[in-house]
Amino acid sequence: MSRLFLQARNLVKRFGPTAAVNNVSFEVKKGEVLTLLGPSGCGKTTTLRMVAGFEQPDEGEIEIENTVIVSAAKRIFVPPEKRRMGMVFQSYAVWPHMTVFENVAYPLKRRGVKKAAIQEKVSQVLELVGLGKMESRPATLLSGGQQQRVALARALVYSPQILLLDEPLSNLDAKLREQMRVELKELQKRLSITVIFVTHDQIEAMTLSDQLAVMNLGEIHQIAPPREIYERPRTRFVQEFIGRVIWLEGRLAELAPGGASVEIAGDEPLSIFSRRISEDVKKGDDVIVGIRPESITLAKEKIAGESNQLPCLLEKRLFLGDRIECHLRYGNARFTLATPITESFSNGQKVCLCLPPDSVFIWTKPTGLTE
Amino acid sequence: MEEVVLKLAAVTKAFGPLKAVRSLSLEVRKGEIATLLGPSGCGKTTTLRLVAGLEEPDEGEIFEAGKLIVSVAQGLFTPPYKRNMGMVFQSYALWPNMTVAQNVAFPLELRGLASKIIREKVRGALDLVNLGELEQRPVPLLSGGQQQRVALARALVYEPDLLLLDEPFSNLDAKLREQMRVEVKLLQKKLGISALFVTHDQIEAMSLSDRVAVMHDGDIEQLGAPLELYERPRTPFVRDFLGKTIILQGTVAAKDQERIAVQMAGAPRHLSCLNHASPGVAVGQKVCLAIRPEDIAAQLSPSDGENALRGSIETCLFVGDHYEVHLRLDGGGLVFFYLPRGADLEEGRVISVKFPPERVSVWPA
Repeated sequence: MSRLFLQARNLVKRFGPTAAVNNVSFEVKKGEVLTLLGPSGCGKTTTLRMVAGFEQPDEGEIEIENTVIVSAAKRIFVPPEKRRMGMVFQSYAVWPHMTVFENVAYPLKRRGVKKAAIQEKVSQVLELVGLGKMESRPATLLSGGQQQRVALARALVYSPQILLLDEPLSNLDAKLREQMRVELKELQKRLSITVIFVTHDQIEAMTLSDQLAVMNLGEIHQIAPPREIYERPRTRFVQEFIGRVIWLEGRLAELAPGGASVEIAGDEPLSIFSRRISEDVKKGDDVIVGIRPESITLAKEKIAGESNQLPCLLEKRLFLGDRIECHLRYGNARFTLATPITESFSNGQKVCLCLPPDSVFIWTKPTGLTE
Repeated sequence: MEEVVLKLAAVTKAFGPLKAVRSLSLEVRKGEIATLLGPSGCGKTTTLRLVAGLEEPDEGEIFEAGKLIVSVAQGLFTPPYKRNMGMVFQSYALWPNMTVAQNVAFPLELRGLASKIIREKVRGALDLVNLGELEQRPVPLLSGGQQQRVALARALVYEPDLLLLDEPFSNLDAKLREQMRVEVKLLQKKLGISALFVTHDQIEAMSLSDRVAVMHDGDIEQLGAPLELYERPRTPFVRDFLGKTIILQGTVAAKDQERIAVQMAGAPRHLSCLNHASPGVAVGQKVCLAIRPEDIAAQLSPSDGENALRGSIETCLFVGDHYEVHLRLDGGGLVFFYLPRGADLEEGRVISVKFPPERVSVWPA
């Protein structure tokens, strides 16, 4: 069991009348990657900036290894330069008039480290990020991916206790982003460094994190390992934000411990059984049903004796290279489902979706949702 | 023989020293969506603009429905409004001071149609794109998807022979793009209209097109049905531009009509590949092997069977609906492939991957 490193308790930050961060608490263990994930405006960057010391919280506390570094109530605020944190920004923030070496050496010079020690440390850390041969290259002659590596080297060079990453891959193109994602993960494991990572990209969040905090409107909806978030979302927002979901509407017909059945309106009304029910739904409620497409099997016709089979119309199949995208309709609900290129359905055909009860989630229907 | 609605013959266009389009020839058949696909700067948009009449070529000829409309040699250039083509732009290009109906009516008014006929045709076109209810709505009050539908209705309203689509989905968000893709495909089939579509997005190209022309450096690198391009790319550029490809190094050990046997570093035996994609590789030659990640089959208990390679798991990335597994082969090469959720593999574990012979292509190194 690894040690607790950082604790944030009940952080609140207001900009004018709106709370950008509203009572946010989390913990980061030593050597672990915690990701704050959410849409723009969810408060993730503001939260990270409070950890870094670029913003002061209106309420709440932050503690590192049992020392309080920020407390609104006790009026404690350790300034950023005394926090031993390395930060990497989306925009790299690499100095264009300096070489790669000078950029990375800068934080050490400011700390008054001796010349020989600087040389050794900078060489080491540039080697680490794969820029060993580029020391004397002017920063402006680097590609986006190389600039981001310089920024990472600069954040790592003074051996910070924790690395704060603010959308570091967002400015890179798709192929480079994929490659940097893998590199970043391997580097983090090799150094066993503690990281707080901010992103709006769910793929980055899932592949890089040990713990994932999904945020919306200033609040954390759920903190858990990525797979748990994906497989057991605690709110409708979490399910909708992460991965693909097929949504259907219905009415909760039966509710029993361990399961519920929902009547789905459509061409042929039918009842679907589920084992994943939100705590706040009651019998008779209008509900929405969320299903992960990859847990669905598509069959030509109903399998006798099986429950949870949704008859659909296959409106159109589109070839996407590595898969076929099937556009399906049940009543007024339209959705897509990817199938392997080996399947042999045809356009306009009736098909049947088999929905495992463990992958059918039931949520309260929000008021104001249009029919 | 299918009817040809558009033909380009050896068309060239230069901007200063830069040759944007180099002696390009292409036919669009009646009722098909033909797509120009390529990275930015490949000449696809210039080609479309030459067809629309927004650019004049330096060389070559263009035929519309068998009739010569552009010929550099004969000094012939038919202006855009005399070509029976409807165009949809990435930026919609709608008039913000007009309502939906006024925007769609505009090309008909330009052609001097009677107002009663205009009303009928506008209604028909708006119904087609499911905007029947929004006729009187000012354009700035529409969402991006609705605006793109108005642009589509405006291009369809005078029943053109050919629809020209210039990256029409690029400004839409991912979900809307997916939805518009299928709507356009269904609409095009229903109307039986022909279209020339320009995009840099391979998913759009493959899903919408009957035939795709992959462009590179001002010319067509390969033209064919999407499945054919994906499964039988003829050049490394096409292979790497479409989908994901893993490239490994090896040496040809033996070869006959049917198969090529390739020796890879660290592999216990030769890898057998069907001899379909690769003309002219000789025994002893260094080659590249290409395989798609979705064609790699994982075998969790290591095996030395036919076309099986051992390796150890470097990273296992959870991406939600599946895992992306990066495997370091015994010979040093790196491959990645996908496993369904539920198969949790620890890093460092030794497994095998099998390369189906019909799915590996061999290329000169």
